[in-house]
Amino acid sequence: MLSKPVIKEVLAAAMSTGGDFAEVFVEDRFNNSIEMVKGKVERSLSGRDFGIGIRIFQGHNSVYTYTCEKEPQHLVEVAKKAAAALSGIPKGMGIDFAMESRTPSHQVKIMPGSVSKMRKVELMKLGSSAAMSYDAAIQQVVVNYLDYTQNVLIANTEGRFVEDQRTRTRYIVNAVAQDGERMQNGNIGKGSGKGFELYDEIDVSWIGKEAARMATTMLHAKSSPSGKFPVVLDNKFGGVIFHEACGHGLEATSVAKGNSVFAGKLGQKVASEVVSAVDDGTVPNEWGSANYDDEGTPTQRNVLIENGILKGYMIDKLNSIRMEMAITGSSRRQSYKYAPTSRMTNTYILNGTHKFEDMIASIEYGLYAKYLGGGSVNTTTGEFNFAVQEAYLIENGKITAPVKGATLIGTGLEVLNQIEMVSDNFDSGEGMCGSVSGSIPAGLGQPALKVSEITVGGREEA
Amino acid sequence: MYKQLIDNLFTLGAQKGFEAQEIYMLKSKNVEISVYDGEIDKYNLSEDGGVSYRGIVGGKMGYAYTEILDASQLQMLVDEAFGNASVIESEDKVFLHDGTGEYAALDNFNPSLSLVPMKEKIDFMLALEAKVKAFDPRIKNITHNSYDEVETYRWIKNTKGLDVEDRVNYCLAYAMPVATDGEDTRTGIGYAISNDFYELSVDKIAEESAKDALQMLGAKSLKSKKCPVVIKNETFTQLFSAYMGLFSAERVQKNLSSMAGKLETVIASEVLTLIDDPHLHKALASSRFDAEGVATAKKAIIEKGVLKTFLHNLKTAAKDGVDSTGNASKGSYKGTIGIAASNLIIQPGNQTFDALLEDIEDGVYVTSLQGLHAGIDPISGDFSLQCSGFSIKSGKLDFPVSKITVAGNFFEMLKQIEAFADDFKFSIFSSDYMGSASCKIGGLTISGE
Repeated sequence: MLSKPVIKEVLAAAMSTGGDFAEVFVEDRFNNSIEMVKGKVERSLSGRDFGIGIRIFQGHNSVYTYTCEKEPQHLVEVAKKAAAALSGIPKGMGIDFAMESRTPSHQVKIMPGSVSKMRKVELMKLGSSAAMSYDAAIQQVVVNYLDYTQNVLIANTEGRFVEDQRTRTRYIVNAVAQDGERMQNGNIGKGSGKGFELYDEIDVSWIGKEAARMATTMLHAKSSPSGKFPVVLDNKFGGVIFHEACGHGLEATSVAKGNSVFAGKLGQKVASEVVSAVDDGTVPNEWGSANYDDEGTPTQRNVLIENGILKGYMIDKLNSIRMEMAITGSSRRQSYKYAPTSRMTNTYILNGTHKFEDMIASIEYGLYAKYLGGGSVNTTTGEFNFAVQEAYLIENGKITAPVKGATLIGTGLEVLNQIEMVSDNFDSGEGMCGSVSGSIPAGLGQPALKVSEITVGGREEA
Repeated sequence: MYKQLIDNLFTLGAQKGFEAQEIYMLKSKNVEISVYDGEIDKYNLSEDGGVSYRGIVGGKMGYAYTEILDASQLQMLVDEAFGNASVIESEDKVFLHDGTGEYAALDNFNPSLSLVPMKEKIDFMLALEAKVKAFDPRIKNITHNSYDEVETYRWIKNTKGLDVEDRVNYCLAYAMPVATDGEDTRTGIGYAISNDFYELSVDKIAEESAKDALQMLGAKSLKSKKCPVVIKNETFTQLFSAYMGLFSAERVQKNLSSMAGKLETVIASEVLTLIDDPHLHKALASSRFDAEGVATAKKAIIEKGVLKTFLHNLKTAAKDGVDSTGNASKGSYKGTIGIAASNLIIQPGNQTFDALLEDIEDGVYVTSLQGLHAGIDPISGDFSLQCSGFSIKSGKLDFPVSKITVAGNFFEMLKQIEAFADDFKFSIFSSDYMGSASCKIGGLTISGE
C-alpha cells in the first residue's frame, strides 16, 4: 500500500516539531451493497474508499490529519502541516520496522468481492420470498445485502509495521405487515466476519420468515405496560443491555478523564456476582474481531467483570498514557477519517447456570423481551436506554400476550446489581456501534438473563 | 482541475454503452479543535472528497464511487456502474436532469472564515473551557468540547447539459459540562453555529451549557402516568425529524409510509404548519439545487394540519405524474439518490412559553430525549424514549425529572398538538436542520417508578 521508506519519511516529518509518537494508518476498502424491494433489485452500489490518517502525540495531546492522496511528497507536506500544531525540539529518531508475522486467525474461504452480483441477488430473493409468503398481512419486504473488504497498514515510530485484512458481510430482512391503516415492521439480520461461505452455514429463508413472523405478531400486539417490573432479556442481541449499561462506561474514552460511573472502581463489586463479562476481539471470524486493532496491536480477550468484580477497562494508546495502564488491543475506528480510540470489539456476558424456563417461572408479572433493538448511554451519569422489538407479558410464571412499543431504561450500576439469574444458552448478535471514532461493527452476546426490576417505558397501565 | 478527468470518464462510459452519465463530486475541508485542562487536547485537520458516478444503460441506473480521484480509477467506475446497472430489476423510469429550471441566487459561503487565524480559534476554546468551569463551583469537568469548521464544495455535471456547483461553510463550537452535587451527576450542552467566527460567543455558550447541566441537579423519577406534555423547541424537532421519512414520496410509493393516500386530508392539529425552505439565508441545509441538480423551491408540507405534498425527486415525481419538488438527496458521494428535506420550519405560535404552561395542572416539560435511533418506529408510529426535563405543577415548572420515558404514537400525537409557544429555534441535534417552538401535546404516557 505504501513502502517502508515512504512511511519512514512521513513519520519523520510528523515528528519534526517534537512529537513523542507518530502513526500512519493506510486504508483501502471496497464496498458492495444491494437493496431489494418486494422481490426486485432497486439499488446496487459499489465503490472504493482510500485514505491515509496520520496521528502525532505530544504528552497527553494529539494531532490527527488525513488525506486521500498518496503521493509521497504530498503525504510529507500533510504530516508537516499537522506537526506545525505542536511546538518543540525534534528528538533523535531511528525507526526499525519489525514486520509482524502473526498467523491470521480469521481466514476467509470465499471473498465476497469475488462472488457475482447475480449470486447475491438470488440469495436475497430467497429471504424476500420466504417473508412475502409467510402471511397475507405481509405487504412489503425490503432485503439489504452488503459486504466489504478492508485492507489496512499501520506503522508507527515504535517500529510497529502491520498489515491486516477485515472482511464483513451482512444480510437484513425488513418485513412490513399491514391491516387497514395499522402497519408494523419486523427486522432480522445476520452479520459476520466470515466470507461468502457464511451463506452455506445459515438459512436466509429463516431470516425472511422470522422477520415476517415478528411483523405479523406485533401488528395486533397491545401496547406494553409501563412501570417497574422484572424483565427477562433473551440471548443474542439481548447483550445490548451490557453494551449500553456497562460496556461504554468501561472504555478509556470516558474513564481516562474520570467521566464514567465506573472510573476508579477496579477491584470493586459493580455487578451481581452471577455476572462475568469479557470483551474479546479474537473470536474467530466474529463481527467485531480482527487480527490487530486499528493501532496495530494484536487483539486479545479482556476480562471486564468476573463474578461481579470489575477487572479491567478497554484502553487505547493515548489514554494509556493518561491512565498509566497497559493497552488492551481494542482501539478502533470507522475509517482513516477518524483517530482511533478505545471501543468494544465483541462484548459478552458469559454463561451462568440457571435455566430459561426457571427464570420465566419465577416471575408473577413481568416482561419477556425476545428481540431487542439499539440503545444509547450517557457514560457520565450512567443512564442508558434500549428499545424492545418483540416482547411478551409474563403472567403467573408463563409467557402470555405479545406487547409492543417498550423502551427499557435504567442506570448502569443499578441494573448490573439487579441481574438476578443468568442462564446457560449463550449466543451472539451483531450491531453497528456509533461513538467518537465513528460507526463500527460491534459484536454482542449473552445467555438469557433476568433483571429483578427495570423501568419499562410502555403506554398502558400495568 | 478535474474537468479533463471527467471528460475522459464520460468517453470511457460512452464506449461501455452508457446512454447518459453523471458525476457528483464532493470535496471538504475540516478543522476540529478540543481542549482539556488549558491545553489543546485534540487537533484534527483534514481534506477529503470523493466522486460518485452514475449512468443509464438499457433503462437502468448503475452507480459506483471512489475516493481516489485519478485516472487509475476511471475504468473501475465504469465497469462497476455497468455491473450494478445490470442487476437492477425495478422497472421505474430513471432520469438525469438537463439543467433547465429557475435557480435561486444564494450565497452561503463566507470566504473569510478559513482566514481567521487558527490561534484565535484555539484561544476561543481555551476561553470557553475556563469560562464554563468558573461558572459555578458545582461544574467539575467538561466531557466533550470542540470547535468544528467545515467547508464543502459540491459539483454535479452530466452528459445532458447539467453543470452546477456550490460551496458552503460553517463553524460550530460546543461544550458539554458535568455538574456534580454529592453523588448526583448531570451533564449539559451548549453550542453556537454560524459561518462567521465572530458571531460565536464564549459567554453565551458557557452560560447555556453550564445552566443546562446545573438545572438537572436533584432530578427525580416520577410515578407512571398519562398527562399533558410540553416538549422544548429543539427537542421537538428531534422527535419530529425522526419521522420525516414518512413524507418521502419514495417511502409512500413503496408502501412504507402510512401517509399514503392522505394528500389534502387532515393529518394533524390545525396549529401545525410545516414548511420546507431551501433558500433561507445562513441556514445549514440551504441550496439552490438538489442532489440531482434540480432547482429547489420553498413549499408547505403541512398547512394548518392538512397534508399538502410529499417530497419528490425526479423518479418519484414521474411515477406520481407531478414535478420534482427539488428534494433529491445523497448522503455523500457514497450513496445513491434518495429524498430528504432541506431547512424545515414548524411555524411558531404567538403565546409565551410561560403562557403555554398556564393551564397545565399536572404535566411534564421534556427538555431532552435519548435513543432516538432505536426508540422510534417510523412504520407503526410508536415511540418510547428515555427523557428528562421538569415536572409541571399548577401551571409552573416544578422540580427536575429524569429516569423516565415518554411514549406515544406519532400519528396520534400530530392530532393532539394543542399549541406552540413563540420561542422558535433551529436545532443541530435533529436529523434534518429543523426549527420549532416549544410544543404542547394533550396527552402522552410517562413511565417511571
